Amino acid sequence: MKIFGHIDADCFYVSCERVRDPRLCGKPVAVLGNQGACVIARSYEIRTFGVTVGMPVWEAKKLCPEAVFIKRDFQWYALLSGAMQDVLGKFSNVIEYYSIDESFVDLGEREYLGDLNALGARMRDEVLTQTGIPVSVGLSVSRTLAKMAAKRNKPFGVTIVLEDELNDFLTDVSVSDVPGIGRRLAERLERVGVTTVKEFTACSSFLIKRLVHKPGEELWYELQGKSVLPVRGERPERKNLSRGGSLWGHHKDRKYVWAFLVRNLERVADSLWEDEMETSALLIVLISSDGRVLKSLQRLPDYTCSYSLLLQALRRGFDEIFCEGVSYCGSHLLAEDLRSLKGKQMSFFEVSSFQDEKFVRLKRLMNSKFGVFAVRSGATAYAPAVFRDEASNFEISDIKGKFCF
Amino acid sequence: MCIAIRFSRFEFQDSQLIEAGLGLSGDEVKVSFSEKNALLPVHYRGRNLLVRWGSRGEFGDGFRVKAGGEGEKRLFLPRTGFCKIESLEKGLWSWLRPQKCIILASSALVNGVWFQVRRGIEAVVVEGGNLNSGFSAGGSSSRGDLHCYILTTPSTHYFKVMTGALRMPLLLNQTV
Repeated sequence: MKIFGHIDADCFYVSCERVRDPRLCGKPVAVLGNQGACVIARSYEIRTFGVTVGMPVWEAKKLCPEAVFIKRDFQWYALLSGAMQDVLGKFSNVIEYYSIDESFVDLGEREYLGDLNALGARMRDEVLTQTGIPVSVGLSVSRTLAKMAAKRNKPFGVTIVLEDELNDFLTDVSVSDVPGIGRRLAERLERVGVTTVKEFTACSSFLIKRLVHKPGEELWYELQGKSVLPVRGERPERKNLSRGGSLWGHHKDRKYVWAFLVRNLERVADSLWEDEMETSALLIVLISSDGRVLKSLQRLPDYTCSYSLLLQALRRGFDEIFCEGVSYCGSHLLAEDLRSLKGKQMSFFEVSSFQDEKFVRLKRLMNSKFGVFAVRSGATAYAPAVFRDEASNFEISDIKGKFCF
Repeated sequence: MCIAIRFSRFEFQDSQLIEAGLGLSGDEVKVSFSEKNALLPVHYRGRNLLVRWGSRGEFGDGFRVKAGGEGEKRLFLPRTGFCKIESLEKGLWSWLRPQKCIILASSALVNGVWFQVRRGIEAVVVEGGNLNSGFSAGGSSSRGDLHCYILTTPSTHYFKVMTGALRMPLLLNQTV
């Protein structure tokens, strides 16, 4: 019988901030994202005041006037997240970097592991000693149960759930508390009278297949202690890549909006280059201040990662959807239908991108030495504020290797 | 604007804090600009000092300078706790002979939002005594009290969204 581990950092962003500023320990602290508007992480101290994730800062400060608000710094969080992975590497060769603050590990066969409580505590303590980040550890016979176990004794807990403890562990647990069962699925199950995990696992395989299809069926097995979902050491190739977000306020100026799109395209092109991927379509999205979402899908003549070809596509799409006089607040670029450049078959009719490649190599070399966006398109000069803020040069989407956002 | 700061009490000896009338409960000390005689924790010329936060004119803060002949001119310190970095750079404060210093804050309060201060807040100290008690400085060798003015700069987009303030304190090696 295999044992799976789930390691979940406790209020990760806040813990990262406490690593470099211990004065924050024991205080109500919240990390703000979304240009400083919303809470994206909160300490256990601030939770007692009713501050929730996604709450605007102006509401949070009323609930907890003594709270300290901190600007997010994903580059720092990525560094500590990587350090956590390194520590976990001492316990297993098969680690799934699930998200910035969560990992799964395949610990191998139960009979070789000895005392599981001691192992879990060692993992937890080692991560804390090496990185300063407190984590909760769940060990169980399937990855779904391990994740639920880690969540059970937060913060800084170790929970072991073996087959003979499943009955007690799952008593009174609602299906909506199972990772992987979302609101819609929970509603569908409720319609047939299934609200608890016990009721869920008591259903017949036939009913489960009909009701919740393959992903639900996998969970059905996992919750019974039958492991069907492996720990994935390698992330599967991504299908698309997106960059974008707020335009830092509401803007009508064509040059300003274009500057943001070009900035996002540079980020897309950089990421494609780094991952050795190419795309065949670019989706350009603009969000107007009144909430309208304007889209333009630009098919490229062939798969490419060439910045200049992508720029041409962006220009066509932008001209198609941008309306003078309309105010915009957000933009997104989505490179769709990605494929790997590795082992690529050359085409007789391929457009040469040699000059482009030389330029990109030079630009990347300069930026690696002098900072991201040290060399960038002249069009971006119309949005200078975003480039002055170094923290905005590295977003959570720039963290490589993790499975989820 | 920044109306209060918090700092670690361990930056100072307890006796200094007691003498300054600051509480010793907890690890941190809070100072508000609204307090009469508010003091700021300042690192100045290699020492940690508690220095008066700006001036509100109640004590006739200022100094006398020789105004030609035998006469003396009374110059009052700016009645504020803040100094715009632009005005400092334009030289509008040069008559006060401001000296740069660092405020040893751990967090600061702007429009009801406490935000983290990692290394400190940039500020200037100027000398000025109580003119009502006949203090004379500004060119003379006598030393007066130090007054600290927090340097401010136009808010970044992030800071504006977070606090709604148009100006922010100038933070040492930190962008908010």
